[in-house]
Amino acid sequence: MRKRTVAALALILPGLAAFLFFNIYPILYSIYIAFTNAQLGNFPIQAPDAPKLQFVGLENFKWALSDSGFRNAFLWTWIFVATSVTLKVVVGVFLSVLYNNKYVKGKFFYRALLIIPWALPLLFSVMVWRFMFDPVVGPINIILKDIGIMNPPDWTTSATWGFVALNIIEVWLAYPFMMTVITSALQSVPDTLIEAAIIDGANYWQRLTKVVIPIVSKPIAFATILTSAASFQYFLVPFIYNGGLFQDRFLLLYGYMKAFGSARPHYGKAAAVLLIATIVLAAYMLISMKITKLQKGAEA
Amino acid sequence: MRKGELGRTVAMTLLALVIMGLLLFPVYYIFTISLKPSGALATTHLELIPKNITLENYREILFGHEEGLLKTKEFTLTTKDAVITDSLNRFNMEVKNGKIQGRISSARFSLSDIKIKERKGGTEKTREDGSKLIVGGQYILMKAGRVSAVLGVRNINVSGEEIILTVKDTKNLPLDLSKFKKIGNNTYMAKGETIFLQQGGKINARDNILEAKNFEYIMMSKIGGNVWGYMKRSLIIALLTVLLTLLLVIPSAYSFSRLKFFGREHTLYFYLMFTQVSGGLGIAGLVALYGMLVKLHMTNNIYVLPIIYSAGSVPFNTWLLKGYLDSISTDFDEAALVDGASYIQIIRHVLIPMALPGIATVAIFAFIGGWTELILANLLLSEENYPLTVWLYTMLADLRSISWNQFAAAALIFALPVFIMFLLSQNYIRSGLTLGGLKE
Repeated sequence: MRKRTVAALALILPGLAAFLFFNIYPILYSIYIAFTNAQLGNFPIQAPDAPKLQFVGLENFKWALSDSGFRNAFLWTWIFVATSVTLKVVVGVFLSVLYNNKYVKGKFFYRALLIIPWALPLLFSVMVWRFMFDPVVGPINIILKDIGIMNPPDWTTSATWGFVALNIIEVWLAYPFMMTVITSALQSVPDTLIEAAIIDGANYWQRLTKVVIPIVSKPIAFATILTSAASFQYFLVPFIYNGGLFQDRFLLLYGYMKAFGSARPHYGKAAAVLLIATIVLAAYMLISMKITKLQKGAEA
Repeated sequence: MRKGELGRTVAMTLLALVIMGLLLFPVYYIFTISLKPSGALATTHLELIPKNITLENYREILFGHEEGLLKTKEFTLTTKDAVITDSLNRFNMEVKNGKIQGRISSARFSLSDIKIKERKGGTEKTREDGSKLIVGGQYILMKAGRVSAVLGVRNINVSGEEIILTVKDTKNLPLDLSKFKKIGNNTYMAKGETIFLQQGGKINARDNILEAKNFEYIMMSKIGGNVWGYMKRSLIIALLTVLLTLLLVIPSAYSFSRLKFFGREHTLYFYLMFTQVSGGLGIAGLVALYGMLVKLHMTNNIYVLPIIYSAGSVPFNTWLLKGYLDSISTDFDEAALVDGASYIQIIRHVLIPMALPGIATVAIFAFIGGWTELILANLLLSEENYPLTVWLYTMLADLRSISWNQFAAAALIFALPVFIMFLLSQNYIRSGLTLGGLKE
């Protein structure tokens, strides 16, 4: 048996070692950096005339908590989670119900086409939307002008309208996932159950609330948690769309910009911001998992 | 009742179609943009079906074109369509399927889309910026998409199937009207005639063959068409990512699927947890990863990226392939084990052939990952090493340097391989994504 363990380890080790070295070690190293004064001059390589790289305790975290940019980003990240997740769930449920409706002919064909956004690289999708929202040549503003709005919003340089645009983009990026999960949940409701309810005299509303929703709610909750984690980690889309504009709107982007998007990078502060974001995300995931598990317990 | 059903069916199907159309509109529209002539973007109305479909944007992105400057005294320009404008704006001459010849002129032509067919003499040298200069040759023959002489060329003979002359100032006309027939108020036409223009004019011609004798010099440089370099690097990165991923993932997936050992469940659980938050953690680790790579002198090197990409995707891909292996019966490999085969032999001869669809899925994932990664490549590479993603990203940040039409073509060229691969492995990816809970 011990020989088997050795063999198993030998087979696992290359992958595990590469993963530990290039992913886990940097994360641990980042935690260390978050407690130092790493900045331009002393990180990654110490310059002779720069302040020495040293341990500064909780200095960076204190800075983050009192920094208006960080607070802004923290607040707006949660606003984005709230708005985008609501939209994603509503749109996902709506699309699933629509493309599962017995009166719609050719459902399979539509469903197959509708997951196209999933098949496209994110960079490409964001570029497509950046064009859609272009203030001059973008179709959205052309349509707005056509219907009589003479001064359509500037989606690319106004932080408020840009935020609206990001919500729309996120819904578009996520609907294939939401639709797939919710559709398979809807299809898992046995027809016999609904027929039985009809025979028992249940109306549409009763069937929905007493039969369909209890079965469907768990997968939807699962998808909601996952997609809200994705919203919280929103980084690539604002980065590609207009990184500079949204840097104090999204936590990860704020941390990234502190390190790589500023003339005087401060890696310690950046690492602290990213560490806080990671801890908040982990806590959020744990709590939501717990809540859904509690549900499971209550049902059993 | 039946009528109601039909009405409902029609209404719901229509609604489903309209909503699908709205959702897919952006992708369709960017595709039409890539097919429109460069610079012809509507700002006031939507053109749902493009009128002038052209592949010029793709051609420009993929191949670019050769531009040049030719100085010569003696030339013959055979043209499909040319316009000669008097420098004092007294007339305007359109030549169809004709010839413009000069013997003692001094002409300086700007050329684009050049292809040299024949050349005699001249010293050739390549300059630092990559442009080519040929000084003093006896003869040159080339195809040129566009030829223009802005400074005006004197002493030229113009002939053509059809020459249409528009006169703006009848009194001081510097040419003989006797060969022309009046066809309009200020327009004259000549067919098959040769007309001498002593004072000449500016020339602007399309679809030409240009011949020059005893030319002074020609200078040529290539514009655009640099996508191949970016594509090559993207391809190298993606293919190496596939190779490394398979090397790392196949043995460990086999091990997790077939062998019972201490720590198996813990490692699997650890991998699963990581796949859920990898996006955010990736950014969190970025600061340190950057520092680490700088210290190891591993920045600005495209061969480093595949290592990092494949290492980062070990948890997800291991889960994916383990799931596939779990669905394959253990009879064959256990039989091989009893027969005394080593683990490596089992993987090589038993498992890989049976698990080919699962391995292909992992390979496709790895390829897409390497092909589309932007953040690390953007952070670590400098311009001479850019892959497609970073190139597109920098273009998006500076849209003045390129038209949206060409940009759309470039973006579609980038997206196409991913799209095809996704279609190839759609079912696996869908189940894999919902299982791993990953998106984006």
